[in-house]
Amino acid sequence: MNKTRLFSAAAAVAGLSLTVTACSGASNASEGYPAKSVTFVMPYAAGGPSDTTARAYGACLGKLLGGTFVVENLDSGAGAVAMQKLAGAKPDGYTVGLSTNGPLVLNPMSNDLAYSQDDFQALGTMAEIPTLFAVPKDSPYKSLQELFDAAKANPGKISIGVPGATSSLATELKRLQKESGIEFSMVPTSGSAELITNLLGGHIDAGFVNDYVDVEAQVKDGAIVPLAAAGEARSEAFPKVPTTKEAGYDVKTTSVYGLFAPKGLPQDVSDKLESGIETCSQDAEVISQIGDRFVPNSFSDAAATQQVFSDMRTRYEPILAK
Amino acid sequence: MDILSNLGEGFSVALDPMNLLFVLIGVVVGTAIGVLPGLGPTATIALLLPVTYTMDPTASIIMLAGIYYGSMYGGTITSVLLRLPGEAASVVTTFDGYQMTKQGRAGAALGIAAIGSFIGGTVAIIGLTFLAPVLGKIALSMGPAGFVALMVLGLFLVTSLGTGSTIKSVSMAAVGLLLSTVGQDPVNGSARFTFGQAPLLSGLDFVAVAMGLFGVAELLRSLEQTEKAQIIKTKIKNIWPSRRDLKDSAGAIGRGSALGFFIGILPGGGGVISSLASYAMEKRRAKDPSRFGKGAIEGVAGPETANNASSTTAFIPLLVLGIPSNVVLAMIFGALLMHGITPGPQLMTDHSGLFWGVIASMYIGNLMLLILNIPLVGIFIQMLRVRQGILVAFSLLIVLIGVYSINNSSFDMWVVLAFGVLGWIMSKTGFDPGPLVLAFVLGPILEKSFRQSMLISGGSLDIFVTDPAAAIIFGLILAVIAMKAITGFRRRTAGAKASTEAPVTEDASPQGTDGPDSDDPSPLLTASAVPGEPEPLPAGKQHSPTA
Repeated sequence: MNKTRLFSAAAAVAGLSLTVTACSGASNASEGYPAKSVTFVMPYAAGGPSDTTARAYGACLGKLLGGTFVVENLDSGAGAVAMQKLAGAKPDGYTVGLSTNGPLVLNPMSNDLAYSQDDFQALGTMAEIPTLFAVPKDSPYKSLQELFDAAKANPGKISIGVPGATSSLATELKRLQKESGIEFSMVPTSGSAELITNLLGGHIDAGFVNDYVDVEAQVKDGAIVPLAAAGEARSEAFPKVPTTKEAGYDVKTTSVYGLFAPKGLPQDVSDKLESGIETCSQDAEVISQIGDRFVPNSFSDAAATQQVFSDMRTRYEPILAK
Repeated sequence: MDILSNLGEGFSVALDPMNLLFVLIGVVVGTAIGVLPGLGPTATIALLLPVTYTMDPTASIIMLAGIYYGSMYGGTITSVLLRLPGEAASVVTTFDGYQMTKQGRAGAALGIAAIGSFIGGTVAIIGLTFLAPVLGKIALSMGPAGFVALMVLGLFLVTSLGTGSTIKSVSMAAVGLLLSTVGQDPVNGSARFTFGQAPLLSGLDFVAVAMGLFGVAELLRSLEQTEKAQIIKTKIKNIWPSRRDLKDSAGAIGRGSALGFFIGILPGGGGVISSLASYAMEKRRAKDPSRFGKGAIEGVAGPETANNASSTTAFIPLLVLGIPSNVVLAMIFGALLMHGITPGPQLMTDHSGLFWGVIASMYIGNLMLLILNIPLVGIFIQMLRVRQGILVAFSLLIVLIGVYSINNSSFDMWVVLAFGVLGWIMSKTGFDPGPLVLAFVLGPILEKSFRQSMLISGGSLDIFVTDPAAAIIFGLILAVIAMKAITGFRRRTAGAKASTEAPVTEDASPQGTDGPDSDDPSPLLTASAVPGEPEPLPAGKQHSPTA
């Protein structure tokens, strides 16, 4: 186990240096794909859950298909630079990328960018990070109902943190406020770490945050109390906490990490990648690296992933449209 | 003592030959990348992250931490020798460090920086060992309102740093704040001043701006001079800090350690503020503040010490609470997750071997850095013997590669060049890049925190009084202003007396460069004047009582 990991890391490093030189050779993609190293663009910086996902799948796909997937972090421009590169690449399977709600759907909707969602085709879902509502441990609000009732009674007085002004969590909360008339004071932070700090310090009343291991550690410690899981199902980490739907509110979002390619990939290449993701999503090593509960148990294929993101677009178009 | 037995356990982990090797690799790599301008710890750790997945978790964190604090040592070298600050905290070091190089005292500057860094780092690790859990809680007391106060304090210090006129410093700080608004609005996400350029959505990159204004501008300026002039200019007088240098710096190092230790705990911006605060403090305490910005060794010793101390204490929120306080620590967080270890409040108990092993490795790493850096100083200053033309070309190449490596973006290479030209024009017109760059770093935190505070308070400014952290910091600022006003008043009355007795003093003023006292909006700037010295009052005022 350890040896193979060492090998794949070594291969990744070697591949990195070969990327530039190994450009000649079979350009006929379909036959022996991949015949050279594949660039795996990442719209986020190294270190977060999306990066872990890209690296775990990159290594696994490389082993499985017999090539090297080189992860390239292009986090400038809030992910727009990575997406632009992916949109502009040749649809031959040698440039793929991870993407999710923000860079793929929300960003091109609210900003003038040189790409849109239509420039990409999904290949499958690699991981999903659920979300939840949480409060600090000594909060007066013991349930989602109490929190929302307080916001109804005092419009704009209850502060609620969201990780980033353009995150899907912020957008979803905006949609809820618009449709239900409940008015929170929404406080965007620069990310989960800052949001958790503010929750722990009691600087905000509540948080709408990714249900990731960083939050889980604080819940285990008793410093943060989850009120509701904002997804279709209860959180695997907190099975006793109800979903928002059970609590009586229509507010839900999930960060879906899909693999994408520029539109127009040859069918056999996209098939190869799609089944590759499926196999890797059952790979023990991938699951242990990303975390068991973030890798979907039943594979969501190319069509299903595409559907998730076009649903997202329909849902948020009225809120974000320029 | 429970802590001592834990630390003992930590040392038994850190002294394992394999772990010792990884400490060494970490600090050597850290120093090396610190020396290469632009290629900071962020890019390096991102590159090495996949490699650590195959390693033992303790060894990998020991190595990554070594890279991080090692790069803080290394970053000094280019700031001092070439005026190329690789990260925000070393901007302050360029003020006096580069001037020392010009006077042939590069060795002394680097030597004192290494010694100060060692002491600051060690003091911070001792603090980390014994006080981590308590201090972790302090970090939490800083909410948005507290950060607003901290950033105001920072800006306050920024405008007091320059050697030139205060009006110029303030206007440069304003430009820095303006430039920091480029990119997505932190609250509603709309694009500002991006002109349709996707890379600008995340704003201008700090390293590109700083490298351009300081480094590239300086390279351009050096091309104006003949080669002969430069050889004389960079003649190396002495390699080691003299006994007097050590004596002069001792206080600065002590105060820098304390400042860096406490300010470093605050997530985000801690490093810059601590080196800024240390510089301002040394300048204020100095007998002759006019030496600052012209090669005062305390101006290198204090900020460098504070910077290293704060980079060590930045680990406290991560190790104790599971909150990464900057990008580099976020990546170390990611590395831990990959090994199935979640940094959080339970880390200390669930993985005590790792926790204490990493802390113990920092003691060892700091010692290694000192031993490594002392002989390296001698080697690095040889760089100054390289012919200017070659050195300039080579530096520019490395700067461009480094800047590219941060975001893998060629756009940033244009940014660094554009700011290089701007910096060159600024140096021609007597504008100091320091306030601009530092305000550029503080601006986004100030804006975001202020708007968050306003959202939380519903638009009421009361939050800055009711929030304890904000109240304390604002109280501190007011106290400094009051003190300054009182001493200013005393000096004025004393000055009036003095001028009646000895009207000749007016042209003996050594503080001429600090600008006239009366139109100085920043109380710290001229708080420097010491009783007994001729007061820096404008001639007109000075004469009025006698006229």
